[in-house]
Amino acid sequence: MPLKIFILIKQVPSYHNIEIDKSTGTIIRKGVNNIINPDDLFAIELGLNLKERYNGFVTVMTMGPPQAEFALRESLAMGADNAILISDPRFAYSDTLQTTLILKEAFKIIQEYDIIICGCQTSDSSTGQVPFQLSEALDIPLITDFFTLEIENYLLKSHRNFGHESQNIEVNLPVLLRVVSHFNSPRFISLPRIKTSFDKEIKIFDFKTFNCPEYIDGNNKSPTKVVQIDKVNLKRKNKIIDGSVNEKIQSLIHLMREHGINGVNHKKLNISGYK
Amino acid sequence: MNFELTEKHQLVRRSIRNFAEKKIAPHAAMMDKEARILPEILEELSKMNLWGILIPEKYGGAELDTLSYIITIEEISRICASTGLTLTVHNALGASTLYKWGNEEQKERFLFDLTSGKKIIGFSLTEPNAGSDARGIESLAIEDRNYFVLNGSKIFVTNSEIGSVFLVATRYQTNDGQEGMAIMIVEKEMEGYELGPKEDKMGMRGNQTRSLYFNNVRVPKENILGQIKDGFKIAMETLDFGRIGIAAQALGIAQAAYEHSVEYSKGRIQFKKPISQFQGISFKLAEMATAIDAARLLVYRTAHLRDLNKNFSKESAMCKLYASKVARKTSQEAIQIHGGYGYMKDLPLERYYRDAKICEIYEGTSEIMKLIIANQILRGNI
Amino acid sequence: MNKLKECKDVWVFAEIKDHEDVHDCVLEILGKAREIADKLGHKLIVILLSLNAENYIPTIKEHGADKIIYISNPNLKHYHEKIFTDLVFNLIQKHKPSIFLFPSTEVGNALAARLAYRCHTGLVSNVLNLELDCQNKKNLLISDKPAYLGNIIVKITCPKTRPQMCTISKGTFHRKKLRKKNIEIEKVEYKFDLSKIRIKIKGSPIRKDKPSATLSDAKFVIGGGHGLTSKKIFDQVFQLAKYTNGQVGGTRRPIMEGWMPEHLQIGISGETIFPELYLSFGISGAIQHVVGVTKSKTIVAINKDPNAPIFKVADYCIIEDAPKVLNALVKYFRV
Repeated sequence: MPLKIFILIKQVPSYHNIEIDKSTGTIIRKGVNNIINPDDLFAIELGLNLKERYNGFVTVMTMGPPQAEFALRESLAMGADNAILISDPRFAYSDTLQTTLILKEAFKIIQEYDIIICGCQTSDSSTGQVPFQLSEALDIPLITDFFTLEIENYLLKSHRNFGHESQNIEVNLPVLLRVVSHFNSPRFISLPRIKTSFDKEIKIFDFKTFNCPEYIDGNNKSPTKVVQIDKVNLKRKNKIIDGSVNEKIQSLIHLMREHGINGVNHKKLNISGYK
Repeated sequence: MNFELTEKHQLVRRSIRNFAEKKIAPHAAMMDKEARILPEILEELSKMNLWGILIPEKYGGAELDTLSYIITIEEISRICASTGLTLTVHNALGASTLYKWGNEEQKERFLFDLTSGKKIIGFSLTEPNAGSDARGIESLAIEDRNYFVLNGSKIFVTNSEIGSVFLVATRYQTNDGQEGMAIMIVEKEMEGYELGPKEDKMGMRGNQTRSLYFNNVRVPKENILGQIKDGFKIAMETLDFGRIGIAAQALGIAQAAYEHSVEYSKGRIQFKKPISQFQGISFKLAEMATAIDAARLLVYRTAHLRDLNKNFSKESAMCKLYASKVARKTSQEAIQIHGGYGYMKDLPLERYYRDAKICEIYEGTSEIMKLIIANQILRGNI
Repeated sequence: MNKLKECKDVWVFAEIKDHEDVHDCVLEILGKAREIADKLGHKLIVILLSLNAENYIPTIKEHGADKIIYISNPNLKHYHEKIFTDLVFNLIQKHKPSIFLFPSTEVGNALAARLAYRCHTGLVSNVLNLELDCQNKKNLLISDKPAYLGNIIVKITCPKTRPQMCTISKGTFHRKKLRKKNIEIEKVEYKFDLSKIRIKIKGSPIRKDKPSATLSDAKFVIGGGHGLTSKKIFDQVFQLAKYTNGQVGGTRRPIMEGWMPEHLQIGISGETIFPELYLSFGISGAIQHVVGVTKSKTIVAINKDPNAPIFKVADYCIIEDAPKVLNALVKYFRV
């Protein structure tokens, strides 16, 4: 029986200069590229790696507006077998609690899962809360900070960090894994996979799929509310040091000396010089 | 008419760009300096299945459309035009030609090795005395029982150093006195095949160009591509297609030069302002952006025509003519915008300029392009 | 979950660091929590779970608490996701706090997230500021949180559920010594069914001794990121530090690559630094790292990517190949 592996990803905007629409108090998303959240790439790579090692079946899942489908296509092109888009107007504006409840509903439909993999944080909201909350919601153990993973007969063995200890642990599947940034090197999408990824059908889970549970309502039932959004005024100079490579280096050395940083050997020289 | 790229094409661009930036960019300057392509890069290209972009899956190819192929060449060339050249010659002039004109036995024999990158292929037409005047080639293959004995030499052969299979255009003579131009598949293991010394080029240095010498090379009749008399037609159609790839290369080079110029001009402070705030500079950026966009539309439209199985000879000449000019001008202006720094090898601008020039020459000079376009117009293809 | 009117008091979770002492960040939070409790007319209650918990009560008493609820047991020696969550959740259910604050640490963020789920309430993590919104007599907590790679500050409230929960970054608030009169101490008996625990630890865990953190005291810090591309190049960060009496720090990637030990990580999962000068070489500036450096007086960023987010938080921006600059500095300061 292949291991049923689920990877949770999010599509986020990719940009360095964010602008706020003053009239709505929201981020301007028009004309901005969307990418798979960078942390999630490590999750996808781990899932594909486990699939190769242990004969698994990888499903990538995301919750988002219809355009999030593109992130699923990218994941399929990386090598995932299957994709699910959780999307409904009623899920919009969900905070982490609503997101967790929605994911819980999705897993109720999925019923059977052996491994769920998440990245650490999203580059937009950066809460990092969902892996912990999902672990509570599904009542399955969450493993973070692991170095090695081995699976045998639905038993997961791992060497991991936990606080200031490093431990060898064993736990029965299903588990939730949170993979740290740069745990692995996410593979590139190759051209043949692009073709097949667009041929696959993406399942859609919407409010009706979950039998319309009343407590799911991203906009009205999220406990946290955003009351204001402002561009950060970091009050930093942002001064660009210009010039040739050497000029820049000299400017930097000058700055360091202004801060009282001298070579320790400089000092030694002076002392012995006076002797 | 939909001018937006489909999601599939957007994903192609994104994936190839990501790959090129991570895997090729760190080595681009070095490959130019040392005038060679790294074996590791060839490995990576194989891992990405970039050696058979247009070939059907049953022969190990990626079976993508022309536009996907063009976007791939553009994105690779944006990082390293030499690598883009290696790929476009192999894919378009080599593998696709063999696929289109080869018989089943030839396809079985060669395509798997080509699509996997195990063997790299080139196309040799040009000779010391035959450049634009392609019909003037002097290489001659004379029939001898089951072979044709080939003598001659080819100059400026792309992929000559790393390639092991070549589609060679040669005059031929049969026993019963027939003559013409043929395309023959020549392999480097064949006795009498010799490789000339490396050319020291202005640009595209990561792809080694050498001469090929044929000294009584016995080419089996099984290695004739298509009908023996179709050689010239195959050559012309091959170049028609090859041109779109060169145009894509040019687009990539222009795009890279342009992006660098935008970033640099925003950061470079003179007279207390970023230079982008002076019209002398910002107008240059505006002209670059406009020209690149126009070139891109022409290149993509040509690719699209091929995918619709329509005639694209005029358009392929047009897009190469225009895109190569845009690449040369853009890379030239980019150096100007960067001032003294643009002249230094620390920055890639001077390499873009050196790489761009050949796009107006190889696979048909810009002058020949104008001839082709004019002929098409006067023949009624207005 | 709980009716709003029934909920009161400001709670702070006292994470114990390394069996040594109450986490610095907790003491800072107590300063602000005292202020909030006073404004609301509520009590400031500290929740303490630990081995030999009594040892930490004196410190907490010095920092403004009205009451300390504690559970002491050997099984509480380290944070455990099942045990701590269950025990603290029971306390929440029993006492119904209005506000519950945690340090933004590995433990604080994990525990707070789990509790927030169980309480079906809102959690704002990595908070940079807290205010009380005293309009409409609602007395809601407003938390400022960074988003979008640190480019945006979002103000968040939790109007309809309780407790209102936050995790707060180190260095956001200041410790204030204050000893209240008549501090209540409530000891709760430890009760937990260990069979609920599913993760089995095999063999003896190895304690990784964390050397005393000199990073947070350092006046001059040099940070390295994956723009330094190799161990050989990263080693130059250590060399430069040696020649200039600086401290070395870095991001996640150098640790994963084995170029740098874990305890030198700067950021959410690591140290917060407060130097006069911070130089960052080849660091892109992801929010996970940046939150640890924003308290630096002067920040210089060296990175060849002009779009790197680090340049937004830098005072001086050098768009250049980081290894090159690093190499030059090492040569200069070595002599």
